[in-house]
Amino acid sequence: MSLHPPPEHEHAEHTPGAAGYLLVWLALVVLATVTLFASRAVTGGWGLMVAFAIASAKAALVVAFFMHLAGGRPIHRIAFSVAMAFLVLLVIGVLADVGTRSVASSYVDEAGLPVE
Amino acid sequence: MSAAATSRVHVQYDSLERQHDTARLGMWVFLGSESLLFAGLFALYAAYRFAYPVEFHAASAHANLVIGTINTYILLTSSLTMALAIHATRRGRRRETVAFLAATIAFGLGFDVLKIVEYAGHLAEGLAPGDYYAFTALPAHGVVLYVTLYYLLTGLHALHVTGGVCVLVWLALRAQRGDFTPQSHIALELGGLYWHLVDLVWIFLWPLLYLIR
Amino acid sequence: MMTDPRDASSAGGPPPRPDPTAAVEPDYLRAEPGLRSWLTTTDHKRIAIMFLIATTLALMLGGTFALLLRTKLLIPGPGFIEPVTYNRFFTLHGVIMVFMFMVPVIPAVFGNFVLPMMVGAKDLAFPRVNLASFYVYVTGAGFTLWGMVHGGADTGWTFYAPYSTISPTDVAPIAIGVFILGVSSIMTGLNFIATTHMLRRRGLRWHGMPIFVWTMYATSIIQVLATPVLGLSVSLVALDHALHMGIFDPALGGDPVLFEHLFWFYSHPAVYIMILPAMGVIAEIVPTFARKHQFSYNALAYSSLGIAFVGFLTWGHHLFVAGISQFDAAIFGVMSMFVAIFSAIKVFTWIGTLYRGSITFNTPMLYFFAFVYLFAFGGMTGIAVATTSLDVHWHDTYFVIAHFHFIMIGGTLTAFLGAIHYWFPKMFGKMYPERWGLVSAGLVFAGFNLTFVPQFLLGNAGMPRRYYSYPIKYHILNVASSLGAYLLGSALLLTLIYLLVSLRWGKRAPANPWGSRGFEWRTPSPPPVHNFVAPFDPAKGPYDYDQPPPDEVPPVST
Repeated sequence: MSLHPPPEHEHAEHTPGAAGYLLVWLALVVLATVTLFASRAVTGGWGLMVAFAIASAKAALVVAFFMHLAGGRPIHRIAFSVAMAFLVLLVIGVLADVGTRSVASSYVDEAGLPVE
Repeated sequence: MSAAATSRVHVQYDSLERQHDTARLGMWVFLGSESLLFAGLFALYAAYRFAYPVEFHAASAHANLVIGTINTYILLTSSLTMALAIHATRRGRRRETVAFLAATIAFGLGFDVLKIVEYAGHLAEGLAPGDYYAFTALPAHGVVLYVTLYYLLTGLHALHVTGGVCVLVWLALRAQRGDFTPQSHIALELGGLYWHLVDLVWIFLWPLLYLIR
Repeated sequence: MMTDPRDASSAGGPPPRPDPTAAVEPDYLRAEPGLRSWLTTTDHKRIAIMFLIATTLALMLGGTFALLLRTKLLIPGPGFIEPVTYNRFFTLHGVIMVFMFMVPVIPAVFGNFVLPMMVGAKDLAFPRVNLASFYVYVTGAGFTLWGMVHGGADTGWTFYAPYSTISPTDVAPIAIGVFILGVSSIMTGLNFIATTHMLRRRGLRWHGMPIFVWTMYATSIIQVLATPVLGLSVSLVALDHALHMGIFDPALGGDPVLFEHLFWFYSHPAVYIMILPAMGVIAEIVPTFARKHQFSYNALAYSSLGIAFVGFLTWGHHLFVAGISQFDAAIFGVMSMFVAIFSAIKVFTWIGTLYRGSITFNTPMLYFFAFVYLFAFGGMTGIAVATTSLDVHWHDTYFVIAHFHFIMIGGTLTAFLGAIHYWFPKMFGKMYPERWGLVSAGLVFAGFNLTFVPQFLLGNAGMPRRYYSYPIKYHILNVASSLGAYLLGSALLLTLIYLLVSLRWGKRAPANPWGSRGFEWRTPSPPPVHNFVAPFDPAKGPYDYDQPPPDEVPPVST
């Protein structure tokens, strides 16, 4: 990283401006409404996937534009991404246990049937 | 300029700009840390939803979708007004800043009030966490885990909303006093970042708690 | 023999050159006298001293509980304390030692003191957050001690659900205390990350920083990202205990193993919060007393980050017999082995630095030798217990106790003792008595081994941890272990006494008694309030032992 950060006015240049903020808000509202209808249309495991994908998109919009991560210093992006990576890691580590417990903790015979 | 007095350069920095940049980095690290506080509850949610998909579906049907959805739109809009408040400061418009901050505070309080209404409704039905679960329509096993997680997740989030509102009130008073200039308004920026995080968490809580199908 | 010949003259009489800086700025200890100015200070050096006092008190308290436990275990069967009191004592021993001593000690004391100097800053990035972290620590410690006086907890420092949620003892205040202590730890980590990124002196590149800064940086990442999960898990226990939320209650469909997942997501990386700073201390001591450049700077720097990141992927090895899936256990077992690779890189690098060095055998160096032996031993037994099949035999026995005490006491405590001797002249402007230092280092090493080697044997023979009594066949080894604990305790007390004595009666320390090339030695001892009289030249690196000592060249002015 550079030891000489850009002056404040350059930092301000990266912000979307009032119209930009309104546009982002509009996108968020539309996506929220899409989530609402999608939850009726798509059910089961796919429903969770769709809801999660839309929520991630909304979060990305907020982080990138409202929180100015898109125009901020790279180290801010790294700091937040590392935190998100460890959040995902915790969830995956727990699910890798809970999700495979019944399968792997019972012995399986040649036919693939669990043996008590 | 009164701002010069309140946000002078501390001895360890060679410029105000660097000091502000450091504060921003500190805030992002803090937000990362905050996210991990929620991560533990998300992990519990993931594990229990995996173990009790049917129970979670059934319990989620009793969540107050109307209030949950209204609160979603409220928080999204409050994020907009927060961003606009900072934008107004950058353009040197003090009254606009205060007005947008007041709107953000109002949205935050509105969220809290609706949340209380929602909690009161659930508690009256017997949809209470842990040992206090007394909802007759659904058997407790598994369902109560959803209910407890609902209270833990939304409760922790509501605490953050309330804390955020307190910070916003302080920022609004400072903005009114003229503490923030287009060049120097780091406290406002950091408060904004925190408020957006509160919005971020809700963006995930809403589909996970209210929209299980 | 004790110090470098070149410094022998300066250690005894008056400093060789008149100190041109003394008139400019008073040192940080004398700058503003009075208790009030200390309690409200934002000077990182003073906060470090306050943490040193607080953590030393915690060590003494935790150590007292350890000695009481070992005294009970001198004889099998009923002893001078009741079984429930015994349970409370080992819980408090663990809680105090882990959360009030081991986790904060090196970052909050030595990190606080030298990290800003090592990056050439006048203070940490957020001095008020730093001061707040001290008071948060005091508050957390207060909650824990209040819980202790109020009845204590009998859950062990791990607070395992479901027992912790139904224990008749007072779990909640201690759990809340641990949560608050965690907040203090996060504040420290946040400060160090921001300082390392943003306050490095102009011209000081990442690869020009002392290794200690790298290890503190890696530690800070863990502190910031793992501690919140600990906070959450102990809060859930406190809530459950006070309000019966039942989130881990099997009767309601809950899964207590999930608590262990959350708890160890923090508490395993917490081992690296304890050991990485220790490794940083060692990495400063070795080149100074071997008079040689680090054998491989990059290996030391990046293995620190490697340990921090891989440390997050290993928490499941604490759950092998708790009922996690074989699939998850296999993954966590393999990932745990990777930590050994990074740790071994460090050990080999230190040995490589010693090779053909000009080694001075004084107290910090003696602690380094103790560290290498104990850490390697503790690390290798860690590999053993991370093997799923072997863990079934050793889990929850004294073998595990001995293993993690080898890492925590053998690693962190010896590094802490090395650090306090190494930086004592810088912190207080006084020399400690070298002869006493060498004697007590020897006693610490002997006492430690006598305490914990028998515990490996006990564990392997099947003695479970946390038991109040034991069959007579374990008697001799238990007696040996207890005697070792008394020896270790006495050695630590001896260290404390001569350090306190030399605070007042010690010889005056020159700016650089060790002839180190480190940045923190390029300023008077004790340092002035803003650390440096003149900015140092980062081009003369902290390990450039083929160059003359930087304090013999006039400081550059920029």
